Amino acid sequence: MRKILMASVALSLCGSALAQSATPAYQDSRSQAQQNAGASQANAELFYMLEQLQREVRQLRGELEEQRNQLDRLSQQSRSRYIDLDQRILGLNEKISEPGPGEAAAAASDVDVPAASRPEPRDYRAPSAEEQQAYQQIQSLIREQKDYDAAIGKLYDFIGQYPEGDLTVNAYYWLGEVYLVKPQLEQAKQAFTIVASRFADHRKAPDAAYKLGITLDKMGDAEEARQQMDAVIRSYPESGAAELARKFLATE
Amino acid sequence: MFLDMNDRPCSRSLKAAISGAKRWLAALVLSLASLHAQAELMITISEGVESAIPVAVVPFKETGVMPEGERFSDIVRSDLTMSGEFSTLSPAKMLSLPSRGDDVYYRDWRLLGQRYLVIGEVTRVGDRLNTRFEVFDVASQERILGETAGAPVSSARSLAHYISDKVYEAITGVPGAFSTRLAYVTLQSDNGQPLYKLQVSDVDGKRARVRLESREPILSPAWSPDGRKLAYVSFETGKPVVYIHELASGQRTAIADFPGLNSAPAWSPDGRSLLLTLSKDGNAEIYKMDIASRSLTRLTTHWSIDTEGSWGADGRGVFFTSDRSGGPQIYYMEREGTEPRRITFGSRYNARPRPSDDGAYVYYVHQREGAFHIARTNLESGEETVLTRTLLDESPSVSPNGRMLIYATKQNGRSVLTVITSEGGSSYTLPASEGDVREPAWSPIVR
Repeated sequence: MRKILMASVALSLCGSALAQSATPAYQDSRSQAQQNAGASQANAELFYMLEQLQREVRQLRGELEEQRNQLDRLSQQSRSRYIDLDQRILGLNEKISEPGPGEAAAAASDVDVPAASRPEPRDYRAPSAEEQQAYQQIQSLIREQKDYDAAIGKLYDFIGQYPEGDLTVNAYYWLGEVYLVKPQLEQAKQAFTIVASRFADHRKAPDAAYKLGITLDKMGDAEEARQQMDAVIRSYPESGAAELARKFLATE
Repeated sequence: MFLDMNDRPCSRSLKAAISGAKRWLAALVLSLASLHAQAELMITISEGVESAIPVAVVPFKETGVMPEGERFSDIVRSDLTMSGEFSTLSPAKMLSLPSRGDDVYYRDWRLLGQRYLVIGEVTRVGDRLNTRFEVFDVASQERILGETAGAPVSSARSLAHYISDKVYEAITGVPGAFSTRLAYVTLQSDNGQPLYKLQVSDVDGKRARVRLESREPILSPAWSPDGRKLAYVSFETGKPVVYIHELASGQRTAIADFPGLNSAPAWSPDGRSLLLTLSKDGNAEIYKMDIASRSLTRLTTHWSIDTEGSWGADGRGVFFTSDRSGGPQIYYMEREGTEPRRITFGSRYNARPRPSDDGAYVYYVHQREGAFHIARTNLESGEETVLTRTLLDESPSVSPNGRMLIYATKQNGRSVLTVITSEGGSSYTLPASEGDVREPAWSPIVR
């Protein structure tokens, strides 16, 4: 690097020397030599300054790149912390809202709410102990054993056996998730659509609506996926799902 | 500094190898101690991997006169061992030596703690070898592979490597890379004068052939995607010139002979163009050369040094080394002419990027606490992993199936090649029987 610059400075010196030789003949050689010395002094100073500037620019660029990288990492970390926290709060909420086993099996009073643009919350039948246990088994099939085919079978059984309950909606949602992983996108789309439209007031509905968008996107239907994400943001503006949908649209 | 290339590099190069700061350039100003080197590399397996899968390769039943040298099944066994993913059972410990599926007693192999069993036979018919081989899963008692293959007797090793590839794929689900080749440069002293040799061998170091000999350094061999040509830098004319060398015919073409630096050739995935580092416009920059027309496109424009370009898996993005932020770091240019993005942040020195074929990782030389290691960065998460424990590592090259990595390092003061799994498990070393060997390049898989 340095040598290249030296070379170019040397070249420009030659150039200026040539230019000098074109000066009038009456100028004596002594003053010309002085002038040359002056020019080379100035050039050396310029060269020194340039080198110093380059060094400094490099150093600044390095620092800038590293800080940008650090910032990216930090914001990514805080995002994943948020998601983690959100999931834990959701889990806690689920625990709180689920009454003790056997206590509330009779409390099921399905009020039929006409499908409106703004979903009215309704009470879902709380799960029995037995129902809860069956649900837990399916969860471990999915999360730990990752046996998706078995899980799909069990989910259908569960939905048939315990219709219209709180966990039934969860089961539909997980059916969608498992089909999405498989991936059997047409089935995933159906499952998510059921949750998002028939149970639009359920707490799983925002997530299902978002996942429906993801499924549509995976099916290659970018336009419909975008519309779905818009719908998530409009219907559930405060939810984590809306946040994810906004991100999806931003990266589109 | 790059203008040092105009000097004769050999005499003053040792100093460069020692000094850390100059090491990056030492890759260009190759420094090798003057020692004798012979054509063949010897394998030393230095370390097993804890997670290695136990496999028993039963000696194949042989009918007819076999070619001299290693037994057929021994080649398969050593191939599987050097991958670092398998531990193979010594035939001396085997309770039975079946060559047909009917003769397999699974409990024998379960008793010996084996997961897979490889059996087969090889028969000579005239000038041909025919082989039949099978792979069994000991736990499930199922045959997972059964195949026949044949080759001329002169290609016995190729046939054995082919079997290794098939066995590897049956067990891991990933194509094997045992039929691929290595290119590397050895240096020996010949009447007190250095003698450089560009050689091509099997991945186990066998069947090495010298492709070029020179009194001046040979550097940076790079395989064309079809495995038929090598591009490299040779100083044979007293200055660095990039050549394309057709292996079958031995025909050589000087493809880049511009004033100043001509270095670091890298083929595009379609084989139509080369990335080159040239200083013809005054400063080391990366250019793309269309090989047919020899037209050049300049990709980088920065007054700092940009070099060691390497195409990403998609054939559009380019990884390269630049010191625009003070020290060498890896940058990625997503498309021609876009602003490069810095990839490495782990230390002040990261150079010679080699992206994996699946586009998930980039491997490079990484300096940490005064030592040089090979590291990789996950391109999606940005996470960096240091893969090697040796201290003076350089020139990483990833196997085409992405499972192994070869690099040059120092052992007892000599340059050797070391192969590890791409996760960092230590596997085997390929020292030249005498002298130094450096600049390894792993060939693509050629079908």
